[in-house]
Amino acid sequence: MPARSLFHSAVSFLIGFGVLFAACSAYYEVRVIRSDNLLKQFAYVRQESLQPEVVFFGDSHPAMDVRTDAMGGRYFNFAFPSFNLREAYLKVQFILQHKPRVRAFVVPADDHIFSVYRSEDRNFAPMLHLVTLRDVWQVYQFRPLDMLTSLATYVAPLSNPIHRQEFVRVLKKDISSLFTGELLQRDLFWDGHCQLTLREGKEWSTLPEGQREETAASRVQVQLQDPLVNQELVRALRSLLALAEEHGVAVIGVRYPIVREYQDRARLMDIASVRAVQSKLPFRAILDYQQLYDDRQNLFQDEDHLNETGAILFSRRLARDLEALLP
Amino acid sequence: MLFTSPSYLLFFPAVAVAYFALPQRFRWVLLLVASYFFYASWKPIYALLLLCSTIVNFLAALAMGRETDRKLRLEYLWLAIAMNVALLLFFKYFNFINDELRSLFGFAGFPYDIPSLKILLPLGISFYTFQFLGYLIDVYRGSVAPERHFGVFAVFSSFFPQLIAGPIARAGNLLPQFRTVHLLEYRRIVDSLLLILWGFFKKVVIADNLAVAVNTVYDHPERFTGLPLIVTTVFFAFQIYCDFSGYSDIAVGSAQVMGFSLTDNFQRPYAARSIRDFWRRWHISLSLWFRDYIYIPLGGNRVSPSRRSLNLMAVFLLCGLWHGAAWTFVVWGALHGFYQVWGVMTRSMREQLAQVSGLMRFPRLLGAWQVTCTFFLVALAWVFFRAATFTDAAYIFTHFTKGLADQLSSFAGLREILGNLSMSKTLFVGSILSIVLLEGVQWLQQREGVRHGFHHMPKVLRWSVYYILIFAILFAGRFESPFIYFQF
Repeated sequence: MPARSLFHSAVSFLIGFGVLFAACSAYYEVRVIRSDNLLKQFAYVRQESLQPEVVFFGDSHPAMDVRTDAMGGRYFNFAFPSFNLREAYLKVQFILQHKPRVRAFVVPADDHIFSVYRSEDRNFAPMLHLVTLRDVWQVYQFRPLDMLTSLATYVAPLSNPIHRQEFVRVLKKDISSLFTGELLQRDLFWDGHCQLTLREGKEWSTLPEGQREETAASRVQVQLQDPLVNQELVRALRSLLALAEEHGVAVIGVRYPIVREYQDRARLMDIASVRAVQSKLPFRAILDYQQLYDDRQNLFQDEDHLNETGAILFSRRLARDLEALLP
Repeated sequence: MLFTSPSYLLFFPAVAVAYFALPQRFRWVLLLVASYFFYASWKPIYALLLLCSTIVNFLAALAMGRETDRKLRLEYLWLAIAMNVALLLFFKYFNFINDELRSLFGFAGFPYDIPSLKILLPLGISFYTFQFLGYLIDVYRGSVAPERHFGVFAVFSSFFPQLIAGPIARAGNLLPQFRTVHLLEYRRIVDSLLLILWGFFKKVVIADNLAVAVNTVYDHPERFTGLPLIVTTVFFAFQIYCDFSGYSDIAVGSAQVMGFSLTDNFQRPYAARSIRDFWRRWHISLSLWFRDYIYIPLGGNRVSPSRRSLNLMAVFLLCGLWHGAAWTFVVWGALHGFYQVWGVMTRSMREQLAQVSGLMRFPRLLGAWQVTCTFFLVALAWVFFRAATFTDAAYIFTHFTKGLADQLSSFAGLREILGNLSMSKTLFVGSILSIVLLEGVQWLQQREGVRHGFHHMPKVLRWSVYYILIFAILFAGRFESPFIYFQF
């Protein structure tokens, strides 16, 4: 008897919980998911009319530093903040299947691309909006819990703490807008050229020296923490290079510009081990721009991203160099 | 596998359902497998260490039980104690002692080249070592019969709800429970789940949100003076309480779902009226352990005042050292020892003072004053517990009041200072409200018994409270940090 009444209570309680959770999810769907930057990018790339020749992959470095509107119509920037090489592989696969005119891929060759900072993120839920679970299966060596949490995130985004934080932020803004009339705007948004842009421009060189040192140091600490070379990510890049070669597509590596303070700190880490791995991989070329703006620190918005002016300048320079490599 | 991780949310219900589905004779097997799985999920090799310790302690207790010669029993006891303490010393204190010796030799100009060991502290070693020691001493004293069933003893040693951070169980209390048939009781299970929910709330909503400000200041105290140091010291007092008592609630609740009763580890410690009272309410299982196995054997209260003071100091120094292999913990323990000795020495004087000042006629006012003073002393001691180094602790102590008057004189300045704590306005206000809620709930619990009162509330109201708690945990909780006491 106690088991039966316990079971009945538990079921009713869970139904109640489910209803409340569904209500929150519906609100989140309307207020956040429908205007999500990544989903907009995926919708954009699905357009038949988009037929790029050179595609950029990677994380926030290419996403923020490369402005294809300053480079010409043959380029497409498929990078997105926080993305890792596993996700880059899946995007490459998608491009090869749907964009037959593609001739070259540009992937990041930064010092943190194989690090634990990137390898730890095993949530593949965002990629399920672009590719199938079978595709994902090939790249991720599924651990049961990772698979469960990723699938849960895909089906019910609010099961993921990051989405719940966003839910609270949006809800707070919406409540305050009832009183202030101020509408919620994304800090990072797509501009008219399908280019991720920060709403408020920032300039690194205006920060006090101490703060610059400290910010760069903590960023390096996070990005270049041991182990710097995660073999799983190296394998993902190898597979990406092999897949590109199979389709006759060239792959070029790029080290994106970073501020001097970041470079000084990074030299204290074992970046030689990363470079050693990269040097053995069959890139068409690796273009190193880390020190490109050492004397123009006003072109950065923070320790490892260019601001709008910097991004436009850099993109023109990058386009010139790529034209030379890919006539 | 953290109690607050998704893995535990899958693991625990599975174990609980299987526990009630199995016949009694197989339940210990399930608990043993589940406990070792739970422990091995961190680092499998340390499960082997736990198993070896279990075997040695099992055999030592059996040997003591068979032996009638008191002298030989004592030898067995010392041998087993030595083995347990040696393991603890090696894993927890080797590097600390080695580093101190290196500094000492270096200072004296002698060569010293024993390198530090790269070893990870086995989780829960301080807790399960004390549990073993308690068991051995109880068997030696004859208050507990040696357990003859190895499987049951192994479950007692590794019982997953309390393995990592207590409550430190007594053999006399826990061992017989593995032989008791626990039935599925609706009310007990609902009570236990509510306790688990409350534990989650304390940990992920209160403690982990307070940690944001505490970590900002205590990781770089030299950047702050005055108010931020005071605010985060008070916050830390509540953070560590909610962190540890939250853990204990989940532990006690998890065990209780399956019918086991563990010691309550906390009883509203910040309502204590003296340091002595505080230690009756804080980490009760550890306080009782020190009382029964160290303080009383040293003579307890039946010795001369000077000897008693010495014993109190010794117990609290050990208590500090038990918490961590660092001088800051030793000083934290010494400070509590000093508080206790000072409390004993000045008791009559304080009572006279209360009489003369007329405070005795206003017992509530006197009580509030005592609670405030005790909290103040405890919070000051927490500085040593939380500070990374002595230098940091010294800085904090010397900068509590620096610039405080200026900071308090302008509202805008105050807002800016609080903004530097890495907390949004909402989070700051929310944190303070959550502390008020915590104390309110505990006050009610002490007066009327919240859980008892719950059963008489209409279902709609009861369930609304549950849903509010769950949604607060989901949407206002942080799930990144492990429990503070896991490091001990």
